[in-house]
Amino acid sequence: MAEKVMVFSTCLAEGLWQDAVLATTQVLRHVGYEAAPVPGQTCCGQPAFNNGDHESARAVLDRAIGLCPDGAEVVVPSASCTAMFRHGSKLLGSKTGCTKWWELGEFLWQRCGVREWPAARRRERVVFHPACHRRMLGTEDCHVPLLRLVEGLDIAEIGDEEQCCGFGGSFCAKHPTVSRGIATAKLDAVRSAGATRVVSTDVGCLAHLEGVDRAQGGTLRFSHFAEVLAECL
Amino acid sequence: MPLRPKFEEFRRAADEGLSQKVRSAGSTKVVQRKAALDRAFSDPAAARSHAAAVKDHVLANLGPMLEEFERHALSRGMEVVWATNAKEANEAIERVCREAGPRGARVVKGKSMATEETGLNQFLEERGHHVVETDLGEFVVQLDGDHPSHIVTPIIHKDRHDSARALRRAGIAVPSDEPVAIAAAARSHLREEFARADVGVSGANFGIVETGRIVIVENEGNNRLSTTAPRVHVVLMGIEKLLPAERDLALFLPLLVGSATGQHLTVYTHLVGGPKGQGETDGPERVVVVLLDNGRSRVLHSPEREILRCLRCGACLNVCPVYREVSGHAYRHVYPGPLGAVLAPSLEGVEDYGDLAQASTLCGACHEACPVDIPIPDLLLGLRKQGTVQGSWSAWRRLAENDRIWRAALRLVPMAQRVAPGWREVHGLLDDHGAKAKEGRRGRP
Repeated sequence: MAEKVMVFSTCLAEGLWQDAVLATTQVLRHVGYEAAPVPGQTCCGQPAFNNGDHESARAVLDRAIGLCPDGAEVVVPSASCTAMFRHGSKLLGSKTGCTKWWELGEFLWQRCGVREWPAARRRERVVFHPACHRRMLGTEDCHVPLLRLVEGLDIAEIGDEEQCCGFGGSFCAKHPTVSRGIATAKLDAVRSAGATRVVSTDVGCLAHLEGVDRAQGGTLRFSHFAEVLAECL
Repeated sequence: MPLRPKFEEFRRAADEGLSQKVRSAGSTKVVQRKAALDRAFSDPAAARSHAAAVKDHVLANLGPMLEEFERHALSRGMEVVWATNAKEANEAIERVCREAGPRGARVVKGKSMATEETGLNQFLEERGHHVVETDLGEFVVQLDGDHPSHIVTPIIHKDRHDSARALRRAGIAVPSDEPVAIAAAARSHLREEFARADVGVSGANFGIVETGRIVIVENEGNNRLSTTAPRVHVVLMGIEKLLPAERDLALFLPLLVGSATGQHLTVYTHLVGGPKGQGETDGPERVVVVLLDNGRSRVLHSPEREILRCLRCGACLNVCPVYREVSGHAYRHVYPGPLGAVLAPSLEGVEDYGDLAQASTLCGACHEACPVDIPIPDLLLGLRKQGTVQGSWSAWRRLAENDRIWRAALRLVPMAQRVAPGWREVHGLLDDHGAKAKEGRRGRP
């Protein structure tokens, strides 16, 4: 019988990239977990937190934490929202109990010990963009090792890969020129590496990079890391 | 707070070449920094947490440590002046200059961000003193009437042609735009200045509590000449620059220098031990240390206190995606980049500089690069809170507290994305591009 795990699917994925949520469920099923959405979930509180309203952020974060039964394991297909649960909660003084929050890649690599994965359907050169909030998770890099398990996936190195995509939530709306400049540097590096697809842990980064790419007439593909893994199944 | 801070306007006005210069310099420095720290320490992460602990120890005992530093400095024959603010510091230094050159002193300066902070050059010049920056980058900045855009590499926003032009405009012959030729021309010009100077002014990288000595690192040798050739040496040092003991330098020198320039040690490391003694032929007759508070005590008792660990290495500037895009002048403050985004509003208030705390993607590259483990993104979040009315997001909060309404609202996101002005602008989605930009996104309808 499959073990159960909860999924906090995040509002950006729900709103902009539902394929990432679907793929997360498929990937978890493949490693023997039955994924159930956190009931009544909305947001982790990060938008208000980043914009300085800690009071509203704390209320929404506490609500999200309260929806997860104590001791549950919750998988989040986003480094950013995972960081909110693990690190932001400390800064806000929220009580997280003994709920364990996993970013999807961490869950697969560390918790499940995934060390093999079916091959890709076709050969492809991709760039992995590590979302910045991974830095606040304080864990080893799980995603590139996981993607390397996929035969047929050629992971290009672009130098400066740890650089931000320029999204930063409301930052991109407040500083559109700066934000676009940062994204453009990243996309230029991706294109000159001969990659056709950008893979990331976070829908925020993907939607932002895709928006800038399209506005420049680009044709790169953008996929959540769960989508890439799910495509092999 | 305006939706479009001054910051964004600066980037719009800047030419494209600017980000390219800063970005490529930043990238190179990041690689060099990592290599240097890996060479210097078997465990760079442990070195960094130890350094943070040492600085925290200093900050927790700052009052008594400053007094002990003063005692030892006095016993070496140095003079110590306590300056509450920039004005007091400038006045103290001007007094020393007037004593050394009553009709206007000739002053040579080593690179010092503290003197930038107090606006010392202008203060002295307005009172009839002749001031020359002797660090090559700072010299170019001075000739151009410009400001440093980086705390370690002040002319990261200029190239060699800009530098050669600056020297030529000042009547200094530069045979070619090659860096070696520019440096040689500046060197021979500055030698004259050193020879004729009455006062040398420097900053300080560290002040050692146990011995009262001042530590200065540099690569060009101009600081050595500034601090030893003139009869008087004035040091302007922020009160947070103390280290408990000289043995701490074994950790802090490679950490600072590796983080700043990717070297193991700088070409010159000075330990300034006071005026020349009886029978000594070299060195100044008088050494004055000015201890600068200028808001630091207030920061010490604020939630931003950890920013006072800062060694001014500039590593956070070099890795910052936003700094790379806009360079230092966009920050409008002496201290730019992530460190400045915390320090400027902490020192001067969120009313004037709160927008700098917004000018960050919170990516955390600064924290990762910081040799003293300053959690800059956390501090920025705290500053954003100070500049925000709590509860201002309560409408959003009410939405997020009801999952049925929330889910209905999420369905509108793809459409909202198409019409929201910020999102449209960042992606350059002007009206004629609108059609091809997005069609009903992925997933269920």
